[in-house]
Amino acid sequence: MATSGRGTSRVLLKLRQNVEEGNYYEAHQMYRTLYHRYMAQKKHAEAIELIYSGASLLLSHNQYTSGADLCLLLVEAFNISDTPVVTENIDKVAGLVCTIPSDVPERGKCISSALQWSKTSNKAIKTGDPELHQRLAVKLWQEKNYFEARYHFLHSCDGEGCASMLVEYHVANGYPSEVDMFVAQAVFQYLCLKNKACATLTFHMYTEKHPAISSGPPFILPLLNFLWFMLMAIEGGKLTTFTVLCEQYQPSLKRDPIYLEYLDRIGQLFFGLPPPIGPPMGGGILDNLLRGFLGGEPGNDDETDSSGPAEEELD
Amino acid sequence: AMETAGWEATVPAEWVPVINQDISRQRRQAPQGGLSDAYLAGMPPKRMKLTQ
Repeated sequence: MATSGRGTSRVLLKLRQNVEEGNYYEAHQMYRTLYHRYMAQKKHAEAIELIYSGASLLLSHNQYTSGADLCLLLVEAFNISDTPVVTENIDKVAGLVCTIPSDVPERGKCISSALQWSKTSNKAIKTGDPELHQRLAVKLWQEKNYFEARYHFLHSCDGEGCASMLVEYHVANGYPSEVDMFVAQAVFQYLCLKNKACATLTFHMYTEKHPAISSGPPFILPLLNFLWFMLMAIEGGKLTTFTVLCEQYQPSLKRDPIYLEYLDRIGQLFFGLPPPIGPPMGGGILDNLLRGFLGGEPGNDDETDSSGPAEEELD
Repeated sequence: AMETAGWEATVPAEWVPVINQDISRQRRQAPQGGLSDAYLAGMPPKRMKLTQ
């Protein structure tokens, strides 16, 4: 990389020595000074190389606050230099973040600024790059921080990881009666985020791996059959099938009132149903079901706005 | 019974026995009790405020 002459490599060596000798404060300040000098000279590649090695080095010496500070500068340099959101660069920032322990207050800032940078990968994804979300999800899962892991899995494309995490989460912290609801919640939310592939994979992996789900499909629990059928109905684009399922499985769907709202959204996103009239509190799906029956199968008339407020719903 | 049988024609034939069994299972289903904190944590934040 960046062959910026002997000067740089001598400086890097000097900085490394400083850190090895335990002069963390001096090294940290030196990294900062050099970083700003490179950036002012528009030597972005050199600045990135320097700050990445500095952050790695300080973090490997358990200097978490200064390491996190340099991690933030790395993301800043990524932003200023329009560094592409590709695996190599995601690995850099995720690798640093994942070595910062969860009780270091600066870690949250690193995570949010990294996600902010990753949004430049795809303007359509308002919540950040799926690959970065996946790296964070796995890290948080290892830390048994299921709540945050779950959020990041939902914005990743790792349905298999999500399912395994949810099995563990349910067994550790859920009630036995919620075995089907844990996966239903995730499947509905993935679908509301228009991520059909992850919804399907999460469903199949969860039902396969969960020790309390011994057979199926078809399953003993009606809600699981509903999900299984619904995913097929979405795949086949059959609105009448979808509406029949929503109607016949009402008792299961009412176990969590928000399911009806998710299904409303799913009806809009995958079957072109109009949004419900009036306040969204369960009434909408019935309206739509009725309209579905009365109007037959309108097919996809592209009435749904593709920008979709679904993301907001989940944030 | 004749009136409610209409839906059966709109789904694949092999689903019908499963759905019929689920309909009767749901009739016997106990009402959903309280939900765990772990489950509720998965709700969208806005909704959590409404339900708590």
